[in-house]
Amino acid sequence: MERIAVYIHIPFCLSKCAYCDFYSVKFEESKVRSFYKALIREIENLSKKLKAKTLYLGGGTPTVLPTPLLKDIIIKAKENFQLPKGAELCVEANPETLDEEKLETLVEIGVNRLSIGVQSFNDELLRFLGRVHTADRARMTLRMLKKHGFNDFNIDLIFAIPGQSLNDWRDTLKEALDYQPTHISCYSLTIEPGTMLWKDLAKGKFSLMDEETEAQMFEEAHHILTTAGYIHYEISNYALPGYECGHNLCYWRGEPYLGIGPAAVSYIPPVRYQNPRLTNYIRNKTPKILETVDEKEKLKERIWLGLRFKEGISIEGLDLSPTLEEFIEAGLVEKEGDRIRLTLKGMLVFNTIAYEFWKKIVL
Amino acid sequence: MLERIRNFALIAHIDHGKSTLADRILELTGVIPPGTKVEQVLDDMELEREHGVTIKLTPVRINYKGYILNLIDTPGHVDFSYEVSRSLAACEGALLIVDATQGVEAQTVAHTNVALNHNLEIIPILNKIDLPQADPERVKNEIEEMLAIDTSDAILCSAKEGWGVEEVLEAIIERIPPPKGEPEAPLRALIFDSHFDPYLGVIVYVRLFDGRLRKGMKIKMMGREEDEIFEVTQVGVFVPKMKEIEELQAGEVGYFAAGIRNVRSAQTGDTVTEAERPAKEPVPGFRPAKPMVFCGLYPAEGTNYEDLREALEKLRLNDAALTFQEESSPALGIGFHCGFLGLFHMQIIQERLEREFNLHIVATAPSVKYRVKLTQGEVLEIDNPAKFPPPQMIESIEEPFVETTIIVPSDFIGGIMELCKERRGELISMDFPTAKRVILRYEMPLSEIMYDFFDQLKSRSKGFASFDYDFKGYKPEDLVKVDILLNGVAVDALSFIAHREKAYRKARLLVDKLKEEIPRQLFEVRIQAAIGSKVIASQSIKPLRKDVLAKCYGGDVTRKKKLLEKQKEGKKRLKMVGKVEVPQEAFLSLLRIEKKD
Ligand SMILES: Nc1nc2c(ncn2[C@@H]2O[C@H](COP(=O)(O)OP(=O)(O)O)[C@@H](O)[C@H]2O)c(=O)[nH]1
Ligand code: SF4
Repeated sequence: MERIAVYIHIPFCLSKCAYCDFYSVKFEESKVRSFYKALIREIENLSKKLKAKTLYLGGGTPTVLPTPLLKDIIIKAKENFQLPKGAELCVEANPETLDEEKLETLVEIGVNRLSIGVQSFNDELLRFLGRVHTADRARMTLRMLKKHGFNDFNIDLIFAIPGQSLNDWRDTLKEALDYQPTHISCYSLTIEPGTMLWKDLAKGKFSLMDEETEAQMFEEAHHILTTAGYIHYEISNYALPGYECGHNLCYWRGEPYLGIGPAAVSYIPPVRYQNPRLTNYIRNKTPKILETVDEKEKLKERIWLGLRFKEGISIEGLDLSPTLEEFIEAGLVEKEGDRIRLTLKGMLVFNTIAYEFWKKIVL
Repeated sequence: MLERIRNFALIAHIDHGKSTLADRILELTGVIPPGTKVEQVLDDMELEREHGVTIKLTPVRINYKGYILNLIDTPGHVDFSYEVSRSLAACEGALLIVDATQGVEAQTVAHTNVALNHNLEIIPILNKIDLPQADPERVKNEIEEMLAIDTSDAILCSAKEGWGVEEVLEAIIERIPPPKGEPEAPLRALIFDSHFDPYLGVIVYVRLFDGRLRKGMKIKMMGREEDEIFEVTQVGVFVPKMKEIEELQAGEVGYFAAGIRNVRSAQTGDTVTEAERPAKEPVPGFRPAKPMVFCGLYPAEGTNYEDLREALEKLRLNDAALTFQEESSPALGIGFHCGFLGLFHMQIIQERLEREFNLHIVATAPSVKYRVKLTQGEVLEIDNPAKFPPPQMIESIEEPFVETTIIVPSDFIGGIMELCKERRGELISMDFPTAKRVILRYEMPLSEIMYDFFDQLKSRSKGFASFDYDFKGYKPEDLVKVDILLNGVAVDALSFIAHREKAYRKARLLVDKLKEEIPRQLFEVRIQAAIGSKVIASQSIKPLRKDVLAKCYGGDVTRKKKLLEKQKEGKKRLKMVGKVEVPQEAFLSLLRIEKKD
């Protein structure tokens, strides 16, 4: 049996961040019990058919769960899905909810990678983002990891926050480097429909950062982090050699994945489907099919996802002329043998390039 | 026989009540049942009603108290002044309808002058006297002062209420002279209108000046160079529906059919004569229909070119003034270069294409026909700026001029004169026929009244200005062709001709507008306006700097993929100019800036 990347969604947070459009609800003791039961049921069911290659707990905020519960979920998942020894077992954590006890437990049950949602080392910007923690709280958490000798972790950062200067961003990046993470994710702030920021923007409470500064921030991250030895291996992701997030690699390579928990998405080719949200999940309602990925969609995804990725895509059998040559000419794309990938400048206009290629091939 | 015929026309400014009065006359004489609308009976063009003007109304034969009254309508819009003159040429008298709440307006003046030139008996009618604001004395005074027409016998009438309509009929019989003519002389019949019938071919509306017209007769048109001979298949009158009769005689009004397949073979203003026994002289004043305003019509999204061609062909059957020929523009694809009598005519055709034929069209900015004298002496007539020769080959350019008549309350004179000056108008005369009103006559380039001149007149006079124009002739002007280049590639659909002094400003506006209209691209887009090789305005659109999806994980794939597709959907409608993607909208920028200008 082929092994598959397994994702478990923990849909609880202390409070909703202003920019967040992930599926999560406010953490409440009462909901957690029934969620736990439903989750374990799903794990037991699915593990009859599938084995894990990596295990990733995301959210929401997995660490918001009481330690014994979190421990139990991870152990059950590991065992049922027969996660191989030494395989990636990653948990997302929020600085506010990770304490010594929780950390020790996680290490003890075999969690070998953590992803810490720091976002910024500037309190004002953290407030703008509606984060529950301060910069100091994040610093404490990171120091705690170091103290425990926990070295394989990711720091999540956000840039292009209204009010942020290029210098603020540089400082945040440099401070993140001080903790020597193996992995850094740098997301440019996207105002998603339905979020608090979306509403505030509509009301004119703030205005978006100008495109030029945003682009400079993107480039600055690239320069600072690659200089520090990190590999810019996906548009928003940097890692020390060998420390790419194995779970996420599956997404970008178009490999199957299994999503467990409320609103989690699975891709079992050719079908991509999504679990119901919490209430219906607890009621054991069936998932909804998002799409059937036919050959055409598969090709589109291969181009689209592949272009995000430093490996790029093989263009064997694809006729992208003359668009490709124009992009190469303009310094947006580079070609090596039969593979192409985006240059730094090209990454900044990823959407347009991907769309132009789609247009060439399938639309 | 002739003694008992009266041929008369209705002339009025738009909305002064011409159609309503026609309704009443037809009702009172029993031609139509009371309560029906003449437009509903005679003409089913919804569009005309919406524009509040009639483009075509068939002539109606009315039997009243032993007389035959032929009512001939006149088109109510500035673009159709020639058609008005032909309708009037077919009559001995005219009812001059003036709204007693408004007074004399530009078309009242223009049409009355034509009627006077044809020596028509004019019966002034003051309409809408049912309204409290009616001021017949003031309006009578205006008619005397502005039109030099005696109003002692003017009829007060309310077409709406039916007051005074009988008096109108009496006056038609009493005051309008009967037609003259020699039935035994060679046939001379003036064509004053026509329509196309799918079975009978062109139905030609005629007024016979001499001779007789009957079935089986061989006829020809005197103004045609081609020697086409037709055999008459039907002769008749409108009562108001078509009714076949034995023959039409000198002095009478009616129609005939002769298997004519093309309206161009029987043009308004031409004279029909017998092929074997032709008249010596035609009825004077024939002028073949000549388009004055031109624009490109292209199929837009979801419309195909063949449908557009078919629709234009159908419209042309009824409309000798509409011309079109295939043209292809790298920017807009294949379409048609079309010619119209004027802007209003153009607008009507565009609307009919959209409404009656359900087509989506893109119309380029209108142009006039220029006369371009080349350095080697040849003179070209060019109605499409894209087709202009390079500046170094041009010796001089002439453009069409019109004489406009503007009537406006004197309070607004300043704003109107300013507008005319902006539009390169030269004042010919300024008259104050009454204390409160001014008649301004300007000579100005047709191209300057093509855009929103009329709207501007209205807005600068709170709606009170009225306007009419007539073609004058060609005059040389310091004109230049301005090309628009996108990254060095000329966009033919955006070239324009302008007076040198105005070219710079217009070029700048256009270039700025294009900068707004063209989305940013992966490459920098340089927009330039140039006269020959000299760039007179430029702008650049910075390349798209950042357009990147930040997060893309397993849960996002389907949604974000669809989102990207949706965001970029509009791109499919973009046209490529060189490597630059240009939305179709942008090709209409020229129209937009004219509005702003
Ligand atoms: N009160 C009043 N309104 C009238 C009279 N005659 C016409 N109208 C109205 O004036 C408007 C224009 O009339 P219409 O006959 O369409 O004008 P046309 O453009 O000259 O054919 C319509 O709304 C008529 O109902 C009238 O004698 N009295
Ligand atoms: S902690 Fe993460 S999942 Fe929860 S609201 Fe904030 S950003 Fe969203």
